[in-house]
Amino acid sequence: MFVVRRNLIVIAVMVVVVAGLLMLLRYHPAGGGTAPSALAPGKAAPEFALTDLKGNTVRLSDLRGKAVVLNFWATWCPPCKKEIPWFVEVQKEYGAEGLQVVGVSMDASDPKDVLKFAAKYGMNYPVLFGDDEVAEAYGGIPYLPTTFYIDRNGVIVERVFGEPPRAEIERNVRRTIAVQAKPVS
Amino acid sequence: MAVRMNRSRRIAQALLALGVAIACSAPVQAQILEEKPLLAQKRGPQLTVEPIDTITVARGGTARLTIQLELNRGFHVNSHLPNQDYLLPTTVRLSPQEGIMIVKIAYPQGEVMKFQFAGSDRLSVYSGRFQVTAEVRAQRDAALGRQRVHGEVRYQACDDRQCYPPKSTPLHFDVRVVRPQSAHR
Repeated sequence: MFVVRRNLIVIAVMVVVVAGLLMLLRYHPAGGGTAPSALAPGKAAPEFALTDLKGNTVRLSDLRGKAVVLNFWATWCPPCKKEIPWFVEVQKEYGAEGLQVVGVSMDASDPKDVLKFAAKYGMNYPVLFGDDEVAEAYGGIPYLPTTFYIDRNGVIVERVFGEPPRAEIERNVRRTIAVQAKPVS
Repeated sequence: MAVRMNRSRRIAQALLALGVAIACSAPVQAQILEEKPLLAQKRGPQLTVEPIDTITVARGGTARLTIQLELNRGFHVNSHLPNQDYLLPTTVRLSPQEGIMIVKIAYPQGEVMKFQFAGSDRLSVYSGRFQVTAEVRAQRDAALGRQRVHGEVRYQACDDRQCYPPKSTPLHFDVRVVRPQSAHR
């Protein structure tokens, strides 16, 4: 009888400890920005309105109907510099199928640096100047590169942190363009 | 008695099953957490400055300043002379008051390393502990006594896959200006 009671107490303590640890993990404070779970695949990509290199305002909703690769980058970021030519390639290859790559520069320096970089790397897609608001909306963008693959309906298909292999970019692009646009009701 | 024993056993079994179920869900939870950038930010780069002892310098004389820095494991920052022009260098900025000058700021030589994310670029970086030195010079008419010098270390860090926005770590130290004959007391 005593042994059973002791076991019960031990198990109860274990359950409480494990549950407590899980609660801690689940409610770990996220710092700034939107809760990352809100940006998980399957969720709607947050709307934004940003200025491009020519001074025009570009909204995500302007691109509805296109599969969007939203790449956050900066001129000082070596992995960004490595993957940008790959985005140039996929824009060429899949543009006709409705792909639109969009670069969001998170540089805080002179806009001329971004212009120069975009020209040097032949960026054949819109390059927008990012701000705190868009960073906040997309989870804080704590590091670069960060890329969101958004389907024709504005839904996040995949999000990638860091520089993936070229093949992974292509795989994500194919997955994203494969999603058909739903008729607007 | 037997009924009570069976009841206790059933409760014990139920608690055990609950514990096992919660424990099994833990790896899944951990996997989800790994994808959350904002949580990763908590383990992001931190460049810390060791406290600097008061520097005693005679009017018209100089004294050596050593700034001991430490970057947490798993990260590197660009050296002061990164070997690619698009990279942001590590820089120490100090703002002494009138009569004090900080000259000959000397940075260590970076370690030239190859990172997969940088393609063929070789990067000159600092990691772990490193120090920056300088000369504190007091002009002949510098005010006697103690004054605080404020400054910052600006850096841009990466790990082996992604890069973090430029940051700065504030620093300060005290300079005690004395008459020439009392500098070495």
